[in-house]
Amino acid sequence: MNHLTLYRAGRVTGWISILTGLALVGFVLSIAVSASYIQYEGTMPISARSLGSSNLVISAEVGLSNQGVYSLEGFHMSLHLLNPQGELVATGSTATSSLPARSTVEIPLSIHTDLSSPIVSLLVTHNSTLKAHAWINATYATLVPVHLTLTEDYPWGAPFYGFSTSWGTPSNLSNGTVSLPIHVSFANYFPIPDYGTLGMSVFSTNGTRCGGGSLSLPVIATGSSFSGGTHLHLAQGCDYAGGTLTLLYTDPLVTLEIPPQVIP
Amino acid sequence: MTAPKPVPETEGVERARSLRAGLLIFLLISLFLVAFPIAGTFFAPSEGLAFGFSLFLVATFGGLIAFFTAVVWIAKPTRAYGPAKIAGSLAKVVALLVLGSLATVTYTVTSGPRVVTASIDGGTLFLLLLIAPVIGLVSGALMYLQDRHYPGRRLAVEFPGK
Repeated sequence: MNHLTLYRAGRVTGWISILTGLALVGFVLSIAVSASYIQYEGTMPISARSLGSSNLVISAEVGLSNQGVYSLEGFHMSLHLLNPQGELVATGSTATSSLPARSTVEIPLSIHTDLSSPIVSLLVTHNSTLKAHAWINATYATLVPVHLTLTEDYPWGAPFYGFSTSWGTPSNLSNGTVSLPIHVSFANYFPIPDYGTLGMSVFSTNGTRCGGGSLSLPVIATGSSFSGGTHLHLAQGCDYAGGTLTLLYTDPLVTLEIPPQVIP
Repeated sequence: MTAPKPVPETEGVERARSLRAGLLIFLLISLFLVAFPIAGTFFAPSEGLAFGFSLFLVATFGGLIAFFTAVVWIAKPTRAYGPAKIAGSLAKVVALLVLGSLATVTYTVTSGPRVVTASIDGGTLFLLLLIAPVIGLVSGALMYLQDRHYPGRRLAVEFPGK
């Protein structure tokens, strides 16, 4: 061995150490800079569908833009929606997704809610400000685990806001039934249009079903109001005064109970 | 009566140069690894930043690393160069291991009703940075072996006037 071999090896490894250190610090800084190019572009509900008799699933998309040079992997979000009283209204989660570098993706988010719960059914006809708590886990640039918690007010728009009914004068029909005119009005503040049918049933005070009818709704876009009427056909002699009107909204994807109305 | 053997002029110049370089490096590294973290302790909370480790701990390690880096430069014209390099690399390894085990950064932004808290675990990055001082350890060991087995050879190459 040459008497300077160790010295030369030591010098070379010394330079490798310095250059590696500089490269690694540069890499870490590039991760920090690149991460600043990730942007949350909002959550947009796109559809709703019923699951079983009382569960509603709202499908939404979480828009994320990553204009950095490293990918975001293993993105997963869990969500809780609470009413102003702090009661749980809905839960949601995304599938585990990846966000490649220099890309924009919409990550599907499913929000589940139980419509049989009174605190949830109130939201069918009342706007509110819900509190959204989201927990996000992801890994950036393969090496950096990131955990995000987000608390945000989420304005809830009711699909049948201010739902109200007014009643006309009943008339006896030749087929032995009673025709009872009904007029309904409401506004749709939900981000998805109403476009289905309102099924209505009239029950007497002792719970006997007197009859009913249906009302086809036109497409009622978000922010639009509806006012329209139909005639309900009731059995003659059935005492519906002081009874209850139950309402069931159905469209190809959703079956939704509107809180019952008392018949004057 | 014999006059004392004068120290060769070149040796004094080399030592002074190494000392100057060492002090300069100490100041530069201290600026980045000590002054910035201390300044950070004043500004980080108001910016919503919280670290899993104390920034004074970073400043302490920064001071230690700056000290050892300066010692390596000052010791370059001596046989203590290899051991100093090993000690400096070990200080970096210990600093990165300790900080890496505590490297959680929490960032909170409040904008109206929206509160976002980001918690970032930088432990893996600190472990990645370990690669450099580990290679530095090898370099220091090689320099130590060089000076031990072939005393003066390295100095003859690096400081030809000696």
